[in-house]
Amino acid sequence: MDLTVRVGDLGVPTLTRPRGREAYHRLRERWTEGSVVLVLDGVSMLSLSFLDGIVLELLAAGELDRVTFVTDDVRTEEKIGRVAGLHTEAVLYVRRPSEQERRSVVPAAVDVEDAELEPSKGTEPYPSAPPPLSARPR
Amino acid sequence: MNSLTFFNVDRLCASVDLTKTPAVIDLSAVDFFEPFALIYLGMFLRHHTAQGVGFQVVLPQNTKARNYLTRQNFWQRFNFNPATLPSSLLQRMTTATSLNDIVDIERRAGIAEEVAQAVVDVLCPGRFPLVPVDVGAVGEMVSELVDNFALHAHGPLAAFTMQWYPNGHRFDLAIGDCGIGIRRSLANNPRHRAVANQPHHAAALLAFQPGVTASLAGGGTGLWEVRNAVRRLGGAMRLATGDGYVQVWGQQMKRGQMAFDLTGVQAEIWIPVRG
Repeated sequence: MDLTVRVGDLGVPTLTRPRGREAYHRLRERWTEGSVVLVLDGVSMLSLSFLDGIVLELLAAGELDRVTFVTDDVRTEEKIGRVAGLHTEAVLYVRRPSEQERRSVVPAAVDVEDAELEPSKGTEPYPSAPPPLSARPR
Repeated sequence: MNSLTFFNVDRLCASVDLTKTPAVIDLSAVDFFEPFALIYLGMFLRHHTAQGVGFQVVLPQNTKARNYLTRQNFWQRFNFNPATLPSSLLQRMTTATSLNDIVDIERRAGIAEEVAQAVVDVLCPGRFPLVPVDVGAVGEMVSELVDNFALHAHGPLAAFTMQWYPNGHRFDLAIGDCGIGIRRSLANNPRHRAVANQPHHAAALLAFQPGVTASLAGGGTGLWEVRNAVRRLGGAMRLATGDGYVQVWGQQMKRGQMAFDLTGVQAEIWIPVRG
């Protein structure tokens, strides 16, 4: 049976790439053989940079196929897809808590976007006219 | 002029004669400061004060605007050279206690997660969020932006602020520094040396591309991910660096020229919130 570890139990903030790398090393202290299930839910913040840090370490160690990321959060799964899109040489695996089998992550398209060059800032693109005095910020 | 915003703060700064002693900043007609303008003006003051410019400010005639700047210690906060201020004094300015506070951000290890957590603690002090916004997503965006400052600005201090407009169904946050700016930061990377000869807005656009500063250690995903998050939340983003800017709204991205060339990076994110 695979070892299951919750990312929040690794004892590092789940933000920034260096913390992701640190989380990998904390994970390795508990995970000494076989495969591991890393549950990504249960933390208030989980940045793409953090996930990328973990994946970079797993990639360098050749261990990605031994890890299954588990999440019930669509947003987190989308982030994993974007990380997969950044590392097309890698295969990441994910499943929902309710699923039995893991599946390979479909890498999200990582497109280069252009931006229209405008002669001036123009009119405001979103409603941001000064709020009335009665609606000043709190 | 009534509100000082992204659309006019650069013109205000461009109108200041920096060759005069003191250089006069006229805020008499301003009755409201949007977060971007607050941070931009702060960075304008901080950068030029470090260059030895002395300022005289004509305060807003509007009492609320004037009192807001006083409550935020605006002049003390920005009218100094952060390279010479004792670290112990800086630390007293780095704790956000509520919305609308201006928070100074020191460049040191772990600052991104500290500021992100502080923002989350302000937005959600108890079981339910104070502001009806995706607090976790806001914290993640703040983490990416602060990390960008810590990694790339090569300046000692940034500033951050946020505002919630309940009747306007809107939440804003802004962060800025007067470091080396995006163009110079990218040009220091051997992959992007050619950007040194391009306009600032072209360099800013490049910074939004995923993996722009990627190395064997990874990286270069901060602004790209912030843009993804802004789009998912249905919001918008404005970023200025040098005399260039990029605006993100929906699937649109636009770039262009600011009226003033201010070193560093200043950014604002707007998120619509439920009523």
